[in-house]
This record gives sequence, structure tokens and C-alpha cells, in this order.
Amino acid sequence: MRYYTRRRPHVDRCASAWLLKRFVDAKAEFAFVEEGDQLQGAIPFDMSGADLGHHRGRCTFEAILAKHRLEDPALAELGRIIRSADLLDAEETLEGPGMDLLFRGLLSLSNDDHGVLALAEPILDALYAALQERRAARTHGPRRQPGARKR
Amino acid sequence: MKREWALLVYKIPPHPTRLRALVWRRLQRFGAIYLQDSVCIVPASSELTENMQWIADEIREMGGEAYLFRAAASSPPQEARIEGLFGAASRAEARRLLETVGGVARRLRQAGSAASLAEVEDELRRVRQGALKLRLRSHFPAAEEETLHRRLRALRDRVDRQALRAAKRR
Repeated sequence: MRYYTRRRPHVDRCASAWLLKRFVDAKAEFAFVEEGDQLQGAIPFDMSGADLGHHRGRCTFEAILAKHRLEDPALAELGRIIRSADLLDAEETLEGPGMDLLFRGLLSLSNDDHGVLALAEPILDALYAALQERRAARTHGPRRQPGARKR
Repeated sequence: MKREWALLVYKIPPHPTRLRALVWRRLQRFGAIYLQDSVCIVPASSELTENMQWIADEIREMGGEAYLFRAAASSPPQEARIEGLFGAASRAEARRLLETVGGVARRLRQAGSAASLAEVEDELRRVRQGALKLRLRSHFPAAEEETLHRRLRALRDRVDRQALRAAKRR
């Protein structure tokens, strides 16, 4: 399937492309257009008015999770991080604001939008792996040390 | 060089009233400044403009109206006034937080027991969070913000030292 979005992808577009490729369609292809342009036969994402866009305060990454019924809790957590990065919402997650800075930096490393997606891939793989490990540790590891102060 | 701004003009259906508050909170979070009711502004970086665009879309989904402009002030003094509004918002919030920091510092001096020290630590954590959020949404930070961050670092060091001393006594 072909997907398209706006040029100069920031965190939500990078993460959404990664999500589509890893979990929806390994052969997904991406194209970049100017704001407001349309591409026949391709699905828009993170564009104004698109189904796969921001709705009710959720980001595009989360719209893709919902649409494709991806129910992996680590992906849901990644979605919250992406949202808080994209919307500069420090109350949603602690990690978000750092991600915003990091992904803005990717844009300065490459003038080519596909190049930015390529740079983002290993970062998102790493983030996802870390979230999975953290979840596993929380689910199976010692939940609270005996005698620890209640919070 | 002339600065560009993303200027949002919107109208929200009066009911339910929470929609108004919801939009206000979202805009506030990334440091938009109200020029008057339902007219607000941020520097037109690609990211902030995008955030405004999403909010404009959402306002329309709520049944309201929203118009987003890229705008420049008509003269340098006009531009300076707009920047001044951002600076004033940063100053007001930094001063509010500095007052809280002063209160926390006083309570730290009086904190004798481990329990009261723990309370001071909690208060400090809250005000540090407030300062971080302020930094994220400050596009023209006032000098008071720097003072705030410096005081917070110093206060955190004092709290840490006092906690260590208390632990040794035990």
C-alpha cells in the first residue's frame, strides 16, 4: 500500500510510518507532499482532515493503532509518548519532550524526507524494545520492595 | 528580520462549556498567548504552526469555527509588544513559582523530622515539574525563569544534603 504525508516529517509522522511498516504492511511505501496536496490511490496520514490524523486530542500514531486494532500495550505506551512529544504535553509522559527534541534534530541531519524516516527507524525500534522490556519487568519482576514507603 | 506568527481566531459553540476550557488548556500547554478572547498567537515555527492547525481542525470537529493565519506585525514596535506579551506570561509564572520555592525553602529550614523532610521533598518535586513545564512553553523566557531554575537547583542540593545528614543520624 502507498501512504503519503506532509514533507519534513517530525516525530508523529516518523513514528506513524514506522508503525505502518512494522505492524501493518511490511511493503508500505511512503511519499511526501506539500500541505493540502493529494495523491491518488494512496492513503494520507498526519494531514489535516485525514482519517489517520489527530482526533479528540489523540495523535496520528494512536489513530493508526485504533484503526488497525493493534492492541500491544507497549505500542499503546509508545503512542502516549509520541503524543506528548508531538503536542508538547509534559503531563502525558516524561519521555515525550525529550523525543520532540531528538526528532527535531533528525530533521537537521537530513534534507531528504526518506532519509529522515531511515534515521528514525532504529530509534523507534530501540524505544519499542525498551518499552517492552520495561513492561515485562513491571509485570513479572518484584512489584514493590517489602517495607518500601507507600506513595 | 521580521518575525512570523501563527495567529488563530476561533469560535466555539457555547455548550457544552467544557469544550472552551479544553481548547484553552491545549493552547496554553504549548505556550500560545491570547491577544483577546478566542484570538491567540505563537511563533510560526513549523511545529507550533502544526499544533495550531490540529487545534483548528478539532475546533471545527466540535462544530466551531477556526481560522489560522501566518502573520507578521506591521512594525518593529508592534512586534516588540507581541514579544513582550510572551515575556510577561513567562515572568508572571516564574514569579509565582519563585514564591512557592521561597515557601519550600522556609519549610526546609524548619523541617526537623524525617516525615516533614519527605513533605518538603514532595513540594519540591511539584514545583520542579511546574518549572519544567514552563520551560517547554516559554518562547521568550523572562530573566526570572533563569533565576527560578538556579534557585531550584540550589534548593534541591540543600534538600539532598539535609536528607543525607538525617540518614546518617539514624
